[in-house]
Amino acid sequence: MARWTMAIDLDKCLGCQACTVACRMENNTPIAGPEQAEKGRAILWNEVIPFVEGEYPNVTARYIPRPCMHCDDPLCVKVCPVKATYKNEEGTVLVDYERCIGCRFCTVACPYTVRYFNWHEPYYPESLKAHLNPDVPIRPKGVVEKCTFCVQRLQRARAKAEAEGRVFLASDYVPACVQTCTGRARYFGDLDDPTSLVSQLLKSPRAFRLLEELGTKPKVFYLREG
Amino acid sequence: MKLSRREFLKISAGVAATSAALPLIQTVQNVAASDAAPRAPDPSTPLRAPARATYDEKYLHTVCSLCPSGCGLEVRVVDGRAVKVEGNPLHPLNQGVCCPKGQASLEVLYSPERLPAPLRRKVAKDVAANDIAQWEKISWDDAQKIVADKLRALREQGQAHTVALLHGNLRGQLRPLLQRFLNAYGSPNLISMENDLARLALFLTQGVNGYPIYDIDNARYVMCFGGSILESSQHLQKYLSGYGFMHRGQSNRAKLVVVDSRLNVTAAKCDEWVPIRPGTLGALALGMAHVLIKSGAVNESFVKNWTFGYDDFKDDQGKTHLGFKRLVLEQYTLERAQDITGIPGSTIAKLAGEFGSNKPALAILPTGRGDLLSGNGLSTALAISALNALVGSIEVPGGVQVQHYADYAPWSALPSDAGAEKARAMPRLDGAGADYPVALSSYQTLAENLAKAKPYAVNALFLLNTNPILDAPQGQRFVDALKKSFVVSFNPTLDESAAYADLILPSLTFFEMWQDDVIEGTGFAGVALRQPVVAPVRDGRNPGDVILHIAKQIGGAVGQALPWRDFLEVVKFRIGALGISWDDLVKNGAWSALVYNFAQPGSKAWSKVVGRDRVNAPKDGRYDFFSRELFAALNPSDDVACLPHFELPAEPANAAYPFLLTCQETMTQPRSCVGVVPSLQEIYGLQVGSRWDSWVEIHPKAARALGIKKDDLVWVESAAGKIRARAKLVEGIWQNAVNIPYGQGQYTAAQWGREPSTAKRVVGVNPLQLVSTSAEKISGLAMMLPTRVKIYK
Amino acid sequence: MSHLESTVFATLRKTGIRFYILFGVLAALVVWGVFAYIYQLIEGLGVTGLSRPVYWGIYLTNFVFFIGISHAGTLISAILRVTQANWRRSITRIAEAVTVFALCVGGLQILIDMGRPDRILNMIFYGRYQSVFLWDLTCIGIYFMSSITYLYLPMIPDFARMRDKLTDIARWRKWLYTLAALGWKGNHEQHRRLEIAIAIMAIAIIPIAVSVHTVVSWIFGMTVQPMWHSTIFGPYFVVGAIFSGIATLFIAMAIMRKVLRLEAWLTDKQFDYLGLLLLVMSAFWCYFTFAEYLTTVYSALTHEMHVADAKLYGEYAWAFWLMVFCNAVVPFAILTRRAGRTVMGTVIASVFINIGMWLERFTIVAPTLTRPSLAFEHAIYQPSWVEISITVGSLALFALLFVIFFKLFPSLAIWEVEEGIEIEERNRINKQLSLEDLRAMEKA
Ligand SMILES: Nc1nc2c(c(=O)[nH]1)N[C@H]1C(S)=C(S)[C@@H](COP(=O)(O)OP(=O)(O)OC[C@H]3O[C@@H](n4cnc5c(=O)[nH]c(N)nc54)[C@H](O)[C@@H]3O)O[C@H]1N2
Ligand SMILES: Nc1nc2c(c(=O)[nH]1)N[C@H]1C(S)=C(S)[C@@H](COP(=O)(O)OP(=O)(O)OC[C@H]3O[C@@H](n4cnc5c(=O)[nH]c(N)nc54)[C@H](O)[C@@H]3O)O[C@H]1N2
Ligand code: SF4
Ligand code: SF4
Ligand code: SF4
Ligand code: SF4
Ligand code: SF4
Ligand SMILES: [Mo]
Repeated sequence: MARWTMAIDLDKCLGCQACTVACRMENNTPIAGPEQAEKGRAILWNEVIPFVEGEYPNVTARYIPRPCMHCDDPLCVKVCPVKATYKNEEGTVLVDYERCIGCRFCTVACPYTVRYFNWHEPYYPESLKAHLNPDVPIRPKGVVEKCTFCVQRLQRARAKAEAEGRVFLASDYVPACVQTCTGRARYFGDLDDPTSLVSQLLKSPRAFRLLEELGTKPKVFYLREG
Repeated sequence: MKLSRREFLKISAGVAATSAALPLIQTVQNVAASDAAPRAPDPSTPLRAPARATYDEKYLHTVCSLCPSGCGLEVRVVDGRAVKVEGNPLHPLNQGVCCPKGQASLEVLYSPERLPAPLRRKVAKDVAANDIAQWEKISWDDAQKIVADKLRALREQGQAHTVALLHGNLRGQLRPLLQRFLNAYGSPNLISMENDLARLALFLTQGVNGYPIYDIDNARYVMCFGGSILESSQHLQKYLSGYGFMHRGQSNRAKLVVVDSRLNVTAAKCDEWVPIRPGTLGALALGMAHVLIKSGAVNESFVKNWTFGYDDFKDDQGKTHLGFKRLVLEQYTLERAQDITGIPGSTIAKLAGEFGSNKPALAILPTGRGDLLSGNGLSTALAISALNALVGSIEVPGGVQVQHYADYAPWSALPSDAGAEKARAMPRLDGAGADYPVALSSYQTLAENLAKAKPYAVNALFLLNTNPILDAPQGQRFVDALKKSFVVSFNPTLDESAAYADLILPSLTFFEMWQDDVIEGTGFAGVALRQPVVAPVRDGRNPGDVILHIAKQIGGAVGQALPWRDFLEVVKFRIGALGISWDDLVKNGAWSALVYNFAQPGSKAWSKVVGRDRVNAPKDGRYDFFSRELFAALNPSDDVACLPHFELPAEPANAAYPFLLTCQETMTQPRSCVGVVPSLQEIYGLQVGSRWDSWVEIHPKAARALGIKKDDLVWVESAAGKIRARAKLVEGIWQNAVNIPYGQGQYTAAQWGREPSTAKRVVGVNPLQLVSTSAEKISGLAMMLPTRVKIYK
Repeated sequence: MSHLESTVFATLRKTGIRFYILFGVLAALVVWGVFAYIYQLIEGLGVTGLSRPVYWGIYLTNFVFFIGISHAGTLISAILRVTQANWRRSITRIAEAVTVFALCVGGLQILIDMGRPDRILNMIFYGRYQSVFLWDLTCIGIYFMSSITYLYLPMIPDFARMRDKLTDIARWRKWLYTLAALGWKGNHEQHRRLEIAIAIMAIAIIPIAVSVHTVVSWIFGMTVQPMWHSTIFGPYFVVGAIFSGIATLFIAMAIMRKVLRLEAWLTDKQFDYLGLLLLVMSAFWCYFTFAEYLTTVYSALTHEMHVADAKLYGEYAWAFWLMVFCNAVVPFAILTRRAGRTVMGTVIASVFINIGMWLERFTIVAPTLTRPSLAFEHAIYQPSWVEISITVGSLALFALLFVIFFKLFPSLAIWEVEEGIEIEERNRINKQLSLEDLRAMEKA
């Protein structure tokens, strides 16, 4: 069984936010609009977070793209009262939109604040509905959603391999943000396969995880700058 | 009903017990039933979309036009709807990746702001008709007939030259086709809105008409002078990929230095950020040149053999002219450079030392904005270019390359037409070539000239892929101009300028039409293809088709000059000569030579990279420190005019306006976009966390002195006007500079988000309302930054 | 009919205009809250001031607050019963009612806060015990059932009394009392069994009550969020709960005493004793608060400090310092002196304490969420009119339930109070007796 993992090389990442938009276009996250965005309700599963430090002229800024960490020990799953959020057999953390009761315990428990809530019924200008990805359901109001590692792509890749009568390879499965990454800073693969690129990268002395000390064991790890 | 006490107590105990047991019961139930993993988000049954087991799925290619990079796109089309965009892996520039604008491009295709059909103005000319109700839908036949009749009449009256076409970024064969059309018709007025300074600098020094291509993949030391190459640049994606490549993990990678008055994203991601006083990049480059020359770090053999005007020289008449070396040694000492730029002399010396000793080193020009928009923009561009020549970083791996083009089929000669020839020779409306000797175009001057009918009145003005009211400095000036003539706008939306048109001919987007794209940024030649990946979403047309149709209706020599049925035929004709299979091109979306062959100095290939397009200067394969093109055009009394030099900005320090306004394009700002792109607005200001809005970046110290706190609404006022935006306190900015992003301030007719909001009809503010309207005196290009402003609550 | 009986029954017999006004005002507020809720239901939780990352706001604050108040009652009355404090007799009914209604309104807050209240039953169908919410559901459920039982048991003799003595009331009420009295005849055996049942409940309910608020605190404590992830939260919340519970009890007692003319039974003695208890709780609360903040600030972990700064000096400083004023300064100023522990004094202190405790819950919920560990800017949270309306509506509902309840049922446990009077009488006689004995012995 695969254990899907993402690596993001902060040395290569240029904060372009292509991943942010790619994720939206792939996963049908709704447009918030000016009013809602101002209230902090934009739904962007993979935000790029800037961290600026120092004083002029010695200022440094870091940009950290932040999808769901797909923790091995996910607090969101622990706290969900109805098992609407769960870790599947491959370690990917998902949300069942039809079961979620919208209590938002998971959203406050997730230390990475990567879970998003549908404050309203999603709204699109009519003509924009045309580009919605038919593979991904639109979430109704009142439920929580977040990065799924583009699970629909995995399902499609598996189905395709099957239809073509060949074995499914880890490389068949590429999430949208990884595919588009302009700095080619994102890697994706199977952590259970010791020869996979992500397994190799994890051994790099630059590898680290966000808020590692919390013990959530994220399956998204980063490579430090420099 | 009577209960015994005992019974009652049993019941009450039972109730308590049940409530305790309830969870146990359902835990058991859980184990039994629902502990199987809950439903995965099931792709085949989207909650709201109709459920379908199978669908008709295709991957088709096109080319993005949301910035001049021109990346190849691969579009996933399901049941005739474009549902996702990826980079085209076979396109040499982006090789499968794609920036956020490209990712959001489907929101451009399906934008609610797109116009349904050709529109004719119903209301008087003096109002901005930005409500669709003020327009009347007409058929394409009628619309094209109106235009053709008008043009034919003007031509017959000998007024052909009074027709002008103002355009923005044009790709592929559209540019030459429009040129040919106007030539045949008899108008010199094909005027560009592009800020082409970098291009001009390459022409004046290296004699090549095109943007310099920087081989950052192979450079050891890269210094960016004032452009944020990771956010916006003519060849944006090249640098994004290049940056990733630089950081691919080899042990001693190239060093990237950014000189900018602001800590833009590139500066944040580089190895060293050098803050500089706005408007003074040229002085830094010259100061560095001083150090390089003095310390003997110049590439002597290159400078001696392949450059012109380094040392003093004598012309044919025996007159001695000033050379670059003496100018720099005498006038651009470290102390002077330090005084002008505000960068410590030791830092300048260090930068020069690094630049001279790390080979290959590369000095990168912004494409045409930033510091190049200051009063000495052209000489600044020349000075920065000179650094590359000094260290011999021309046409070597890691140096400056030249864009090569495929060998397209040549256009046939125009049918002879004395009237048209005479009309073509008339002075241009923007003064290019006359008032501005080496100008390609000067949209900057156009507004005033049009309004003043200088040098003559314009009778018909076409706007193609441009929005001067929004994009020109103090663009409101164009309102007057547009009111005065018959205006036809090729535009998918009712943008600020189209609101003053008489006729709008909605154009199609790059997802819906055939057009070739000339690949630029790679150095080597390449061709890509836009194609209709979906049926037109609105009743629009390809402007190329419309021009051909109109030409036919005008008839005569114009019709003869443009015999093609449609634009696709033009494309096929031009590409036909390349010997590549059309079907492969359609399938792959792009073709390219894939390797860049560096030319040996003096070889035949060398003449293609140095001096290729010179007009008045000798094609002797020499890089001009002393621009002979400029000399020929200006015939100046002072040699300095032809040399890279520095002049203090025209706008002097002014206590009433203590701040310097700079502007920058963000990664999320598309060019030629169809109105507001919601997903880009939602992530607009990465560095300051701003969405759907503009902001003013200001240093905390300055803010404190002015009593301004984060997120306060502040006025930014220049001599030209004032705008209001939220203050963002940022450490990474020159302490008396403020920065407002370009590109916002657009009017939008659509409802974004569920709240119908009238207040948000204009998204953000447009800093171009504040900037100065002067033009660079040689090139005629906009010289608007840094503008002096004051700030208050 | 004794004086006690007639006083208590008076309100049950006659309904004055003042009742209707009160009822009308409260009902109007509740209706307004319901309207706001329906609006929220239709539009989604977006009509609140919540956002990412401030996913919880004053609904959760209310939840914790009301659950806290619920400790007034049952827990206190149980403790007092178990410790056989005789002066408790006249206040247990009020205390227990506070509990039941606070639980109703508190539980409601969770429903109100839910994005999909229509799926509430998923908690039962798919509920899983790894989630603290389920612990809460269980504990609160048990507490609620037990509290109702515990409220009900001592009411049985009173029901019988009403059945028998309130003859001039509507038929349905008569039927209700008859049914509720469960055929109580008041014989010795019945009394004995009732006492046993009450005693069992009293003992059982103490750990249940403690568990409830501990578990509520664990909603926060079990996360790893800065200033939530704290082991002190269990006892801290329990103490805070009892603290605010007693304060609420005071307010309820004082109003009832005044309105229902219960001065004779709700005497200065009760206010004095309970006032002391309140003071003790205040001291406990101060201790916990001090311990909590000192360890945070002293160790100064980065993420925790962001939150602590917000509370101590930042935009939540007003709430924090007001809370300290309400929960520490005011109670100490008033309650340390015997002269302060009057009806007036304790009520004033209680009002402050309730405000303070609500703010305490608020400063626990909101500031942490505005400063998640991974953010470059902090968020702001401002409750919307919907949240405020629903909160006001909830408070009104709490009061309304109270009013209706005591319109229908006796405000004091008549038989218990009578029993108390009897016991006191006996004690007094005993005391006199022994004194006389002593004197006799002296004489002898
Ligand atoms: N605000 C602002 N002004 C600027 C600049 C800036 O960054 N910000 N930069 C300056 C520079 S460097 C340049 S190059 C110029 C460019 O400025 P412009 O040439 O004006 O370019 P855009 O604003 O990108 O696009 C203009 C219009 O083209 C329309 N359009 C979009 N797609 C199509 C299409 O497929 N066909 C047709 N016919 N029209 C289309 C859009 O509706 C848009 O309003 O602006 C200069 N001025
Ligand atoms: N994302 C995106 N990319 C684009 C475009 C786009 O709209 N969006 N447009 C394309 C076009 S048409 C063009 S022409 C190019 C333009 O690309 P560039 O010519 O590189 O222009 P800008 O991106 O505006 O970068 C201007 C830089 O100059 C700095 N700057 C501004 N004023 C001053 C000053 O007075 N002094 C100094 N020292 N620095 C200053 C700003 O901080 C900023 O870093 O980009 C192209 N690429
Ligand atoms: S990052 Fe947050 S949402 Fe994602 S698995 Fe971990 S705890 Fe859950
Ligand atoms: S909001 Fe939904 S997913 Fe999150 S904890 Fe509640 S029920 Fe589970
Ligand atoms: S993996 Fe997929 S869902 Fe997750 S951030 Fe990337 S694009 Fe979004
Ligand atoms: S797409 Fe890649 S380079 Fe761009 S922000 Fe995301 S991770 Fe960074
Ligand atoms: S906007 Fe520019 S860089 Fe981005 S995909 Fe389009 S052409 Fe490429
Ligand atoms: Mo441009």
